[in-house]
Amino acid sequence: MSRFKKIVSILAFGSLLLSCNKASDNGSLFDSYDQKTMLGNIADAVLIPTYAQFASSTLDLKTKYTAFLTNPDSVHFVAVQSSYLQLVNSWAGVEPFNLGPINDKLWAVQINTWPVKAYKIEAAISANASASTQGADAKGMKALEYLLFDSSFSAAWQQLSSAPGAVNRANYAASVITDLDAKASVLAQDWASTYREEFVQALGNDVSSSLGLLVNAIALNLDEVKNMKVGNTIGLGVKVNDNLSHPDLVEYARANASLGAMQQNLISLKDAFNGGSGQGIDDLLNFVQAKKDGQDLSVLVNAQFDDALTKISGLHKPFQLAVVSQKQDVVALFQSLKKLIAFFKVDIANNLGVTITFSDTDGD
Amino acid sequence: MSQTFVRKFSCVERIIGTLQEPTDAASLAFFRILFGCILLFAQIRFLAKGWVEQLYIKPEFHFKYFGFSWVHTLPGQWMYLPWVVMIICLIGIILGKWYRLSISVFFVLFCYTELLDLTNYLNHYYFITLVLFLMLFLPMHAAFSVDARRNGGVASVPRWMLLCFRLQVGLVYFFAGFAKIKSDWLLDAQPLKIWLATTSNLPVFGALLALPITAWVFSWIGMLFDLSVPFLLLNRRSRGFAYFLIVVFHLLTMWLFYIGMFPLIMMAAALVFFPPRWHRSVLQRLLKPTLVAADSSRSLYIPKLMFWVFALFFVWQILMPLRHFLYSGNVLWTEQGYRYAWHVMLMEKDGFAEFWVEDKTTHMRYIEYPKKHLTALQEKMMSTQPDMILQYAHYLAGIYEQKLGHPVAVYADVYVSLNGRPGRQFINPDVNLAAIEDTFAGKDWILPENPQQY
Repeated sequence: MSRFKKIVSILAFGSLLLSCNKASDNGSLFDSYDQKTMLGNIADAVLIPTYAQFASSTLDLKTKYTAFLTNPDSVHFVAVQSSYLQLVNSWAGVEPFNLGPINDKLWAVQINTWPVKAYKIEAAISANASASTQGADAKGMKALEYLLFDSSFSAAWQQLSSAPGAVNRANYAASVITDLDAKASVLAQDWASTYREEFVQALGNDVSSSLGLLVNAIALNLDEVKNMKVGNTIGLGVKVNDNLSHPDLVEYARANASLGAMQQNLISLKDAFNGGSGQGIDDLLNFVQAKKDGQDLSVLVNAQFDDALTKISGLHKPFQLAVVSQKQDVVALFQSLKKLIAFFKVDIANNLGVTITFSDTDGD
Repeated sequence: MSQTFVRKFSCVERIIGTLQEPTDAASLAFFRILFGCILLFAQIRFLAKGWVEQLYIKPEFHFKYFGFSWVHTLPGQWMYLPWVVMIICLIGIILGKWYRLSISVFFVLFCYTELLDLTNYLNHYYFITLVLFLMLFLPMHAAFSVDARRNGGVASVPRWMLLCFRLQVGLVYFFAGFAKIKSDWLLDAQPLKIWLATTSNLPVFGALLALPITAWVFSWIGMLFDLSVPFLLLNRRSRGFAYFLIVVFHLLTMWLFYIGMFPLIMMAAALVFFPPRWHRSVLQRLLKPTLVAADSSRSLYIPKLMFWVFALFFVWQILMPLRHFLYSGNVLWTEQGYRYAWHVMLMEKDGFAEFWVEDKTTHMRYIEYPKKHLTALQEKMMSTQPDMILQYAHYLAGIYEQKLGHPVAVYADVYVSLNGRPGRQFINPDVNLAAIEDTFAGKDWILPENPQQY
């Protein structure tokens, strides 16, 4: 036993020396890195402002819509539609971050199920029901798009003002807006009050850490953008993989707002990655010296974000025309997003020890 | 006859004599009851966590074990039946009531449930299977059992029976230590360096665990601990200290990582190294004396065949962990010879996989996302394991050949990162996996992790 102890102490000491050598240039993962500052910065510079923006957009729509109900003329309807388009962008900024209050309350589905079921919305209108009593596929962002937009401006406007049954329809739209606004304001308040602290305190990289949640949320949203918003429309998606163009599967096809929303998704994701202009996941990757092909991983990831954003801006609006006329460019965007996802799911996850798609089963 | 031959012969005889020496059957009983209780807890936990539904009922596709593609799940809720029967069997095993029947049925059902899906392979399930195999043949119910009280049990068994369990536990530790002699583990302190970052959150020790040297110290001590602990447990003087280390080591891993039952099972299993009189005193203190079998003159019948079965069983276990040396490339990357070799907690590996199915008649290519047919856990496991990628490619080929009515080719687009190194293309994207059968031959369609090395 004493001999064993001797061997252990010699080897332990040896490994100490070895590790001291190495440690100087490559320390333990988050050793001296101040994660709290990073998370605080991501919360203050990105998450809290985007949630606040989302809440103020829903409130603005509510105001504009109330004004329209009092004065259902075309001028007020123009204001309603443009407020909705503003809301689309605000929601696109929040959408990637399905963590914290929105995840606890399972509200992402309530806010943004798509596609919605038109027949369910029509049934709710006929029954003069309120959105709060309806399922997720009859309310939220996409139900509003269905109610506020149509083949033409006048068609949409008349449906809500002068057409038969317009009163019921207008009431239902009001209830959808009210429901959305109530949720948005609760989320913004939760983030600003209690959840910020919780987010900043959840250090480390395990499944309940903010870093873990954030990387997972980013990877999940990139999947959604690539496979659903882009993939399906060119027949390279989860739903359809026939390699054909499917303009009917474009998000926000009625409102012609798809490209802007996707762009906002990516801008928001990139902002979270970089922590705005302050400390973000990029700095943490630099800290652990994550490299690939001799370059900093953070630089490569940012370049990939920019590449995807450039490809989006190269597409002509609306997206449902681009998926037909510029299909090759849309495929290129799809490929670019794929590289970006691989960075998050593989390189970043591995370097930071974050578990993607955690399941509660045992490991060993 | 020469002098040396006689001496050698007598030496072998002495060893055989020692192996045959009668030893207290309480040790086997102790192990039977303890292991039975842990398995009972494990199976109830399995049900309580809803894993039967999640792992066996919900998935539309199951990854098969090599040679066991004929093992299928039961329809719908019938899948719960094996667990109900296993729990009843475990009660029989613990009480030692109809022991032979209970252990036989349990062994078959446990193997059955394990063989259903490769996704759920865990080293500790494999360990349980091996231990159950021993328990199947050995008279674990010779003492402290209902059977023994009824039939009149034997109070002693040959020493080799106890030694089988010690050898079994010792092999696990030794090869787990042996598997750690890798540059990732010893020189880069990976994956511990990545994993210990998880702990900076923890109170008191968090800061200590996150120190730069901790990962190296843990890696080296872990390797030395695993290699030496079987020998320390064998030695009477170091046994107490070694067991103390085992408890500390496993509690630490339980606290730090998501490894479920493994620490508990190993802490219990290592108790077989304690002397039979200790096992007896524990049992006597805990159980009613009525369950204690009296000395009986009945002698145990041990078939000759058992020796050869056990010899083969242990030779297998020594060869399995070494077989990866027959393959080229890093075993952590290719995973050829990775399973059944006590490669425990050796890697942080992340993958991302998509497939392309090509209609060989029209040359049209269709993208396929694993999540369409797999659960999140299955997708995650498959994305880094070549044989599972191959199986899934075959599954897709089947679906598409039926749908298109043409022969198809399947290509995998997989990107993997191992132990903090940059992600790389994992599977040759130009190889039609549908045309490849899984064999024991080296898989040349796995791309090298580090192209310069080859």
